Amino acid sequence: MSEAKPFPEEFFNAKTTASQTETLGVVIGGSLADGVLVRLNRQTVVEGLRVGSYIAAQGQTGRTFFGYISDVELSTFNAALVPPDESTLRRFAYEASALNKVVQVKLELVSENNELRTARSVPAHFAIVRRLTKAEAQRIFSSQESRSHRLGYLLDDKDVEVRLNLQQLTERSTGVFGRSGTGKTFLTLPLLASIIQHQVANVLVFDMHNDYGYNLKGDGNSQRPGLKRLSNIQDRVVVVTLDERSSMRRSSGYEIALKIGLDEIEPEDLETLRDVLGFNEAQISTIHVLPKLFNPERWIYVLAGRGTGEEKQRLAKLFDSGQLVESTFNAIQRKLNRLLNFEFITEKSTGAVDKVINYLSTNRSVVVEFGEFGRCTAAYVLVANLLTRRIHDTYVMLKEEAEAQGSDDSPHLVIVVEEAHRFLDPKVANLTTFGTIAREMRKYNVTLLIVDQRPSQIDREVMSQIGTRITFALSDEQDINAVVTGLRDSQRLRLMLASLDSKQQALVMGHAVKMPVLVRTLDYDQSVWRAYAHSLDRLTPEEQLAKSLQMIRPQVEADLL
Amino acid sequence: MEATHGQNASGVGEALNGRVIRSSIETFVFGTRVPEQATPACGSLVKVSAVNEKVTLIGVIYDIAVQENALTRMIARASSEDLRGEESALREQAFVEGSVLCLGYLDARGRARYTFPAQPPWLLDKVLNCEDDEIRRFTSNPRFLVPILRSRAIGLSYSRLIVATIERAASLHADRRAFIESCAEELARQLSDRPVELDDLLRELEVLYE
Repeated sequence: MSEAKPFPEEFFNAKTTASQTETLGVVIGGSLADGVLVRLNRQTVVEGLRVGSYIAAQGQTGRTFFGYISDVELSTFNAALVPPDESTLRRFAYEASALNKVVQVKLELVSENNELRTARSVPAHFAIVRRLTKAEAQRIFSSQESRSHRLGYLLDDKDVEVRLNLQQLTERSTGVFGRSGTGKTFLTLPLLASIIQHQVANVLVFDMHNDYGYNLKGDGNSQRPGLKRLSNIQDRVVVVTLDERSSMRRSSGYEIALKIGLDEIEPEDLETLRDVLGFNEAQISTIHVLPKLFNPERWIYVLAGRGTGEEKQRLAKLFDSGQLVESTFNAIQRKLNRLLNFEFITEKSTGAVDKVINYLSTNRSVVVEFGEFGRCTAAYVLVANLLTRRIHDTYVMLKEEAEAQGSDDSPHLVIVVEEAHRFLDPKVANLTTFGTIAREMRKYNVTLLIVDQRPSQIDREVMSQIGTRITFALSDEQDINAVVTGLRDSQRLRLMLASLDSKQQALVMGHAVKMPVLVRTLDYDQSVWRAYAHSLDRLTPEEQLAKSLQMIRPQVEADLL
Repeated sequence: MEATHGQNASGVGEALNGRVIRSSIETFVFGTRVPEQATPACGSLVKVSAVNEKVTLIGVIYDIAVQENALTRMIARASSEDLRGEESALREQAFVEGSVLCLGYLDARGRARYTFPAQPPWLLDKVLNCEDDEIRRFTSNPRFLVPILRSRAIGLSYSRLIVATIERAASLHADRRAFIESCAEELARQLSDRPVELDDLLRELEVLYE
């Protein structure tokens, strides 16, 4: 098989340019809704233009329209044309007149009076279409806000950074989607570091795979620093572990060992485990009726088989009277048995949950490492939901207090949840606090950052509330549909998604970007994590030694004299 | 307007000096006495200063007929050496009729227009070879090919005429290949509904392009 020739730079015509002289073609038709049609010049190599490439069109009135290529089409005036062999003249003649190279361009923005607005009209026939200049690309894709995050580069042009406005990003919930190994965690970790560094919000990470706290596992055996090891923000990060032994094995330090008291568990927490543990309707009803049949603070102990003698007698009576079905109760017990006997479940509350909430209320971010329990979905769902419910209550209270005092400085919180479909499945989204947060907590300054491989399993209403979607390659059609469903131009966005490579390429769309953008995301390597390190930490060990010597040399020389 | 003497890039041999003997809006015929070596060539661009000399009509020679006279048959039948002198004189001054298709005209400001003039050339108007500069100016836009493609007078031989015309004009353009490319592009546009003819024509042009 012959090797594909590289695109000649001068024909590629997809990169930004310093000037406005290089044209791709002219507008020949189309509409705002369906996209304008652009006939490419003969010189433009169609293979060099791909779905998602950005273009500018010069309007008649000095306005410049900006958009992206949503489809590429070849046509001919006559299908009976005799194909030229290697003849350059005949190929030239056909290309120049009989063959059409047309791209469909979805217009998103228009520059009017030096302001970028949503495009509500189209440029006229024969408007010249060209590549974006570098200045235009930077204006559109590189937020000039000081509180912004460098996500990566334009897929078409590695010279143009894509920067997200963090304020806008955290105003609404965010979704990071993609199949395994596409780069979700490598993108999310530095994004969280930026949110913390710029003090845009506090962050609570439910770290199912122990990636965010101390060490992030890279390819092979490589390890990269987690949030706690980034010296610029480490004072504002607290690592909480559910599994002390795992933390020690991994040499991962932690501030608190999180323990959940049985008395902190409520029926709603167990109901969210409906799918994970396979509770049926009868079992769910039984769980809800237990607090009414027993002391509301003791029902869980009865269920966990740790009731007092008196409670056991009452349980037997309830079975006898038919108020409780014994087999149903026993089935619930069996299903909960392993979960309620995990080490992090204690008889009584240890106050650890309150400590976590206290950290979050005082401008600290918390990473909850699950250790080995991360492999137990039930444990993950239970803990995440229980903590989030408490946090939800606290933030509602804080916001209401702040509003009562006429201030608007209640803390902002971003909750990061992996395997989000476990909490936001249509069957449980109405029950979990995550569903509530996704739908309405923006007004209480709490938003979600959802990291998931299966967006199709997330409740549609919740998906519709996600402000910014960062989507890596997805393989399942249903997942691709779920990401674009409900959005304008979903078909075009599908094409853009389909064009992504399997690694480090993402489509970002929504609240935090001016128009959908294809990004080559950064590898989470030294060049990235140094941005979150003190100046001395940014140096290599050799450079650090040299710098230290340089600093102490004057003192040593003075002493010698 | 007199033709310049000597070799002309667009013509063959010596300068043409003909007179219109029949004309219509689309075509005209000129007659001239020329020696054999100066016979006008198909594809040559000629001009007629017409319409009060405000425009210069430009046409392309698409057919040439050498006319007989009373002596021709006699000389052809005779074998006598006595007629050799007559034959030589006849060959030196044969009467030639050239059929010309009007391609357009140069207006009073020298701009090329690719449409018919309002009036045909008049009888006995002088027909001359175009100057090189006039050819360059007139053929700088490939629209000059359109009348050839649309003419009913020429019939099926238009492709040979087009190749001949392009070949003669190409030698006068600084960028010969670019000129041929622009002609090929125009032909592809005009003949988009006749792909086989187009392909044949382009194949002929490729010989010039190489």
